[in-house]
Amino acid sequence: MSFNVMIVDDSNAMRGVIRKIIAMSGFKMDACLEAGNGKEAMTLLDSNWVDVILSDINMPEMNGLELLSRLKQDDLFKEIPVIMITTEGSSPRMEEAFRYGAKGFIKKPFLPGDLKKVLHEVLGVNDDGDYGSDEEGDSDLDF
Amino acid sequence: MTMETMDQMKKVIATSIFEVFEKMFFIFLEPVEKKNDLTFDMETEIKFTGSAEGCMKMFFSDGLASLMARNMLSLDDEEVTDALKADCSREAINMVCGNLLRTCDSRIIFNLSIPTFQKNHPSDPFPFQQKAQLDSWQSLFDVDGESLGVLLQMQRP
Repeated sequence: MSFNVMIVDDSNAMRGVIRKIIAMSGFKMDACLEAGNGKEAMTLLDSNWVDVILSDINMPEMNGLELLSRLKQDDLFKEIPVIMITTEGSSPRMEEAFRYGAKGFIKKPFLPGDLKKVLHEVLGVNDDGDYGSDEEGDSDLDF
Repeated sequence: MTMETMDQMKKVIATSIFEVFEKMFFIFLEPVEKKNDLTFDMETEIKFTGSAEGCMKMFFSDGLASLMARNMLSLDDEEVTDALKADCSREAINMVCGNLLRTCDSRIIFNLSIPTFQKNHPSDPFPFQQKAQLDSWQSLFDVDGESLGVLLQMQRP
């Protein structure tokens, strides 16, 4: 199974790094959409479907928390998992993001393995990039 | 703020810089002593508010900004543009400042501004403070002759 990914960050360089890490991680990515802020992300979502969104918080025009809030209010988009990738990693900020509905949180700077781990956890894929975790497979055998 | 706290803060700044530059840009900086003739090609600035407020400035030589873009995005020399150097410089200060504030107090939300970027005139000197001040810090780093300068001002509101 391949996934459509959206990366939302006002830094072109950071979007490039995230895209590169996802591609290198073995994660099965079909399309990769990029937006410079939450507003651009909402516009792209009008005509594209994505399986997961990776979003910065501190962005101009519409920040990551506002984007999360908008997504959660929309019946069509509220189930899309959102992972925050941000420098703002204080405990209350993380709690705030999870309260808004974030499914994962990655603090910048990060290592490629950190991103891959959270992405796999949130989407429930194993290290081979297959849908369904190893743990689920093991528990099936137990029966 | 005591001298001991000031020294601790200088260490926290250095640790944040090393972490960001090593993890994201694969650059291993060395701290250097004050040099009077230092000039930098570009600078970025970020402001923050929270339980403390202030601003951080980072000063880059063109070669360092170019190296950051090359390493971060696995580019060749000729693929590095001024826009990418500016982008990497802004991202660097965003990560260093966020990392630093998180280290200072992870229980508090700090609000960071969008980083600004400007090219400097080659003759603009690094704005060294001649005397130590209680609410500001300065640090210099080097990698293969390329330079990074950092200024931090932070006060309790």
